[in-house]
Amino acid sequence: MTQQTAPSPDPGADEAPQQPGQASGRRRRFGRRWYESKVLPVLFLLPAALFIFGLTVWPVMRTLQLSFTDADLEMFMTGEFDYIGFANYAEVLTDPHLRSVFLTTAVFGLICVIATLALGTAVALLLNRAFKGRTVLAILVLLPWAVPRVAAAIVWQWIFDDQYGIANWALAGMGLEMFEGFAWFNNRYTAFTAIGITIVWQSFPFVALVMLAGLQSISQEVLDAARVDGAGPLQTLRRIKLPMLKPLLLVLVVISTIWNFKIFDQVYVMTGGGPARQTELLAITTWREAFTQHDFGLAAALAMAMFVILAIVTFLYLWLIREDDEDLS
Amino acid sequence: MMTHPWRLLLALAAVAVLAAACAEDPDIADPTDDDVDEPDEPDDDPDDPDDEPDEPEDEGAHEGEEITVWIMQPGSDTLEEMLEGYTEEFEEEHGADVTLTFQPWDDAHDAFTTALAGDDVPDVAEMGTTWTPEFGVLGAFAEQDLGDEDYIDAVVDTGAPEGEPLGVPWYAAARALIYNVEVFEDLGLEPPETWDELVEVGETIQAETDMYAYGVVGAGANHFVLPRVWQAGGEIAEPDNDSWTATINEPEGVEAFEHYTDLFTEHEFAPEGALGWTVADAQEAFTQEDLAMFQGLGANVDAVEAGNEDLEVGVALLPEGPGGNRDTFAGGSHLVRFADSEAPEAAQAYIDFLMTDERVAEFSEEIGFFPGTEEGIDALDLDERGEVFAEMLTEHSRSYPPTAEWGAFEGDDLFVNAVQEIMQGDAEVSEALDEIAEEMDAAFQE
Repeated sequence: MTQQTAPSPDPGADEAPQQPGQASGRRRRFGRRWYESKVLPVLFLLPAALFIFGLTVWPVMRTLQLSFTDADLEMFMTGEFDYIGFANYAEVLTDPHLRSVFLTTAVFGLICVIATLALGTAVALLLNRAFKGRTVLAILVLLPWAVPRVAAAIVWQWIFDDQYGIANWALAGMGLEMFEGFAWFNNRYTAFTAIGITIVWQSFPFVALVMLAGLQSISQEVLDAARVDGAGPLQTLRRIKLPMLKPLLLVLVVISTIWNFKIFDQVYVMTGGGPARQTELLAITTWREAFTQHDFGLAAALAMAMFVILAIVTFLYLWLIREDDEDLS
Repeated sequence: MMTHPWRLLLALAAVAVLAAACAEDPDIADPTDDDVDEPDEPDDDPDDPDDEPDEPEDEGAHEGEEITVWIMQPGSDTLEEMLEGYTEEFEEEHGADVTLTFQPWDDAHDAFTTALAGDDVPDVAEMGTTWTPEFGVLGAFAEQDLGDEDYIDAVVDTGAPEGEPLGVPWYAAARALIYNVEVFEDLGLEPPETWDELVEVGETIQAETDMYAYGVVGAGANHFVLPRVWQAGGEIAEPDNDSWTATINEPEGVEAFEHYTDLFTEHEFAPEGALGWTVADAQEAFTQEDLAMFQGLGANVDAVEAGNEDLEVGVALLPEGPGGNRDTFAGGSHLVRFADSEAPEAAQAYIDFLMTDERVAEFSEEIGFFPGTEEGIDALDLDERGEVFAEMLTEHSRSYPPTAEWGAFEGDDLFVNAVQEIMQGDAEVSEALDEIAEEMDAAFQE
């Protein structure tokens, strides 16, 4: 009985009439439902939402704010920032080196995406067939994915060492004498080849794994029907398997694009952006501007540029997915 | 019915935990604003803690005080244990609680930048000598009283961007010419005394053996090419009123860069890949007996001998340039006390404790460097090679311009980029140096 007068956590209970009765019971039930459907979820979501805000939204806003300043280390120490409008963005657009970094990042990223998807899909198709030792091979294929990026980069740097590397030793051993003492990291293109091989080597297992799962979800009946209709393996791949895996491929393209735009570790370890800044990618340049030049404003503008580009890629992906859903319905 | 209060409790608990976690932020953030003006204040009284060094009697004087110390990862367990031992001794003697962290050299610059920007600095740190001015001019460090110790000038200068020393020279070293004795004896050669002799000796080695002659490194070129500007009789930059003016593009600088890059492009004294080499790669090639000479420190000699016991390693003074000197860069470390330290006296006491003669001698010997004082070096029992390194440091060493901007020049690979472009054949020496000078002047005048 005391329940009726005691303060209740239910907001609805405050308005409850004093006398017990059906109306008050209904209202209390309504209050609880309101509480459970509206308030409780918010309370549960609040911690996660605050974490997401604190770890994602706030840093992005702060970076945006920084990008309008010419912040250096001293400004961080004094807390007084000079706002310079869009000057950093103007520099991003007009500085020849920064422009070439954007171009390099886009071209190199795209090549890595294509190579990763092609190799990953090929390996998935291979693993999708029944043969002896398939499980062992599948495990071996996954291994590079488990290697930390920095460790992998160091290993591949040794592999491509001009004097003592196994790559030159093997290539020269095959009769390609030009590779004797060949300096992979002396020139932009060969350096990017070595870096690209490292990146693809590390990222194709994920693609292979996902594509394998996708391939195994294709119903055998469809494939049997295609075979009955006289489709060869290539036709089956082009007309049945790949179209059916299109949504999956799109996800992989987007994920790979985002990953490959952010490449840092492999370049940092293998060339440090050299020789003469020729292998600098956007993430390396951003880091260099911030941490060696203490030009945090310009670095923030570069980071925002990367954020916007990747946001566009993500929206493109969402839009493609939506269109896909409409096609299906 | 039971679930209702439980769920509420859970939700509230979650919110409470989060609130508590967030509440710490303002605590950190608020002093940030207050501390802003403080760096100057402790600066004014750096003498207080300095007044009482070398007084082991003040036992337990810093009871209950806590200090954080960042020392560069010294790369060997022995050295880490040595430093941990010193720290324990200090804790026992002074009663302070010391948190000692080893920072890898490669990440240390980022770590200091982040610490300063986030106002979460240690109390004491080891600082690469070229970084001391970079952070020092921002007011990061308290002034140090070096007393009347006869520190190596070059190492003091680089720690005093505005005249007052901000770092105590802990250990120092200068590079010398390291050569393969067997090759030199077989060919009847003497270590080169001049730039021209370096080329002659190198040509003979390349003609008579299947070794490369000399480690012309590209990616790690700074400490090899910049001292050559001095050796040619020039300067990298000169003081100009309150600022500096780049002089690296004057004829001496051009001669220095030309001489250095010619060793690679014209004389082919190193393999093609040396364009991307650091001194570690040269050291490796020397250890594998694929390279007859390179420029390095005592620590490089130790590493070579550890990797190839059969190799007889010789050490000679660096060849003299047309300017009539063998000057090279004095590298090493400072110990600094951060101006923001909340326990400045304990922090200073820790520095003084590490700086006692025996500890400096023991530590610098183990790490393959020298103590930062002439007296400390004289007290060492050096072998013939040690004498050469010591002479390079005491007689032929200099510091780069101790300006705030220098760290950014190095960080941006300003000089390295030019060397690599010249080595690639993509740039002409005097044009590349004009560009460097332009960038340096722009930074000086900012």
